[in-house]
Amino acid sequence: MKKRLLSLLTVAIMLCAMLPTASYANEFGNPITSGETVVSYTVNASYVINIPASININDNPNLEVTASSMNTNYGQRVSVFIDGSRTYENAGNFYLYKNKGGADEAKIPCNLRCGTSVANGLDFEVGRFDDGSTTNSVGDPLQFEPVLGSNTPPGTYTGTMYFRIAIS
Amino acid sequence: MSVSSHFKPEVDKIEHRGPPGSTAIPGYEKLAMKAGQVDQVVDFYNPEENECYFRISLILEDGTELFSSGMTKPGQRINKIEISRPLKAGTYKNTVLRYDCYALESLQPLNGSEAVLNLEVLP
Repeated sequence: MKKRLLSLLTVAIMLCAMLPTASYANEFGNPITSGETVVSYTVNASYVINIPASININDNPNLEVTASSMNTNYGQRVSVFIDGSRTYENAGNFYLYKNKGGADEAKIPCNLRCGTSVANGLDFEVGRFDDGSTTNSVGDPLQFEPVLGSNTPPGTYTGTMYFRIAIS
Repeated sequence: MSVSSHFKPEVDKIEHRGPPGSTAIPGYEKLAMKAGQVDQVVDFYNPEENECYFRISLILEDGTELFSSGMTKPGQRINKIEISRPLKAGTYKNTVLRYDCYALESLQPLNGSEAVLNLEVLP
């Protein structure tokens, strides 16, 4: 009886000793080395800013810049500036034209005001969106103020503004 | 924009609608390209809510124009472009993605924008 128990115990020990080998061997008995792969994917910050396609100063003289998507991190800021190099001419003036390029071309200067300050010629900040917020935290909106002479020809005057958007 | 040369992720359709009469301008922190080749994969687009054409240009800080699209209608995407010259690997800061906007019917120029980003050119 004692011998039978001893032999059963020996068999059990042998089986246990074989187990680890079986776990780390493939079907041909070769050892398998485990490994790992780190999978990563970077999502970069992005945003969608809404600028006015056109502004009818008679209806609303304010320049309103909004954001409909702001996928940025805390601490990041998206700023919208007037691109002065493309918007202004003649030492920083913004002009509205009637029949530009035509024989009867006429133009009027248009002041840009923010509160009591004149922003003519400046790369003025018109939008600021911090920490992923779609709320524009720039206070007073920029306003357009056409400067008319005593004999400015009647008609519709148009000008084009350009904006520069940067993330920091 | 997270643009890989090999993989374009599925993204949920995002509603970009802003106030009436506004133009939605997409912007990105970074843009990725491959070094030493002119064929590149990007994801430029004109949001379908817009009521204007885009002409999209990619311009380096030194003024080199790498790419300029034709009139891109609302909802249209540009995924494969050919840039004007192959770039060396590195980061090109203050690269500009310029959006010139034009009215759909009259093609009159509308207010335009430039989005400043870092162009990362990978080996």
